[in-house]
Amino acid sequence: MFYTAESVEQLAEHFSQLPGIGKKTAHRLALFVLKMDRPSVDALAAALIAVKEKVRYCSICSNITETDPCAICSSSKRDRTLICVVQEPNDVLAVEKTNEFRGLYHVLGGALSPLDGIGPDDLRIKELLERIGAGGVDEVILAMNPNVEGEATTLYVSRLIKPLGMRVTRIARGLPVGSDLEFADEATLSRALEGRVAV
Amino acid sequence: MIVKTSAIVLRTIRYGDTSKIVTLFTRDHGKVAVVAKGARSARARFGSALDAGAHLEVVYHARVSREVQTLTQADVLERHRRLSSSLAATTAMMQMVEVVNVLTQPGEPHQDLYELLAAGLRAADRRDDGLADVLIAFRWKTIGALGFEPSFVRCVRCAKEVIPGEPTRLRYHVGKGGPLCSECEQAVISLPSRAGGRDHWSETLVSTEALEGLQRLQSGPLVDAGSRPVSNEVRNEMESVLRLYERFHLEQRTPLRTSDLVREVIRSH
Ligand SMILES: [Zn+2]
Ligand SMILES: [Zn+2]
Repeated sequence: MFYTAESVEQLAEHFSQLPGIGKKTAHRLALFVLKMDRPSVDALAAALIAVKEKVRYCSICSNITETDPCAICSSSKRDRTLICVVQEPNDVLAVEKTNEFRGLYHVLGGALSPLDGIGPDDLRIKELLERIGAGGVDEVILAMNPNVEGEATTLYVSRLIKPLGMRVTRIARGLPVGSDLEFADEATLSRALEGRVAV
Repeated sequence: MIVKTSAIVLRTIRYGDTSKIVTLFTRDHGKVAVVAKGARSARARFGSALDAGAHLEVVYHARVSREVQTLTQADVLERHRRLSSSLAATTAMMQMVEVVNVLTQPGEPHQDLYELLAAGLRAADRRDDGLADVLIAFRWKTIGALGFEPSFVRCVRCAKEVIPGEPTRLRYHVGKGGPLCSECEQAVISLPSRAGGRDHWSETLVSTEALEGLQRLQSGPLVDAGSRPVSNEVRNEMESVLRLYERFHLEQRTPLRTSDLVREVIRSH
């Protein structure tokens, strides 16, 4: 006779809502949690709650952070005349790993993608313009994914920034076309940043 | 079964960590969904091939029992060079693929529409000016390719030619797909069956100038659309007839997702 506990089923149900987790894997994960020792399960539960309670979006750059402003925006070592615009928080991580960039970031929260119903108002473009409008910025580097939505975003944003009179550049096209920025290796992304060109 | 065909990418969505699900409009098999494994990874097997609007030669494994087929090869058939340097061209291209995506069902081959889309993308890649008219022409031609070809020249009741003629405004009967000449308009108005009020969704007043413009866009080649300047007023008229027509015949009630961006970046040109 097939028999299972209600709590295991419930946990599996929650796991199956995560991206890329099917019913079978969800069940395996639930049974794994059952076998874990109590302190590890407590730590896992606490980590889940903490991510929701502590993490928020930086009020300046919109990156995810536990302190507002984030560590990058509040650092005195960063070059405030330079803003690198990216799509997602993961892209900040990718650019940081290159150790090449010493400026600040602006996370748009996605790319212009009208076919998916994502228009300019769904991205933090207005916030970017306000930041630039406040002064002190010499160059804006656009570092979008090398695909059609990324290109459209680059063109759209540069059209709005250029009249404000600062240098607008885009990262070089050395990245594998079609890929996501976050998967680029550090050397390739470094070269792309170095070889940035005016839009 | 291994299928090899030319195809145009209508839509891509992220799938899993590094893959994409791609909606293709294939020349031989109509709309087909395929999974492109590893398409977003650093090795990006399929390169730029899988962006919306790309015109490709593809190979995929097809199994009837599956809704999503497996893409094994994609090579660029025709490169649209301005699509990454012009926002207006990119936006126009996106609207074209959206129109075809919303108006087609999976697995229904439609070669005329396929050729029309390929020609539309080519026309969008030509130049920035006139793209608004290229889009209107494309949408009218799509309606025609789907079997709802409108008439702009002859009265739907007595078949008299209404253009070219005196500049005036005529009633356009969206349901019957053509204009009413002024004599027929009078005759129809006096019919008792018409007393119950007009159906606002199926008819509209249109100037003969707009009818002439529509006739030109519908019958001329796509690349020439927009080569003759049209006032914004006339273009708005042409577009509102178009929207009523799409709504009536294609039951397309919601506006296109790309329409806001088209208005913003193409109109202001
Ligand atoms: Zn910040
Ligand atoms: Zn008549």
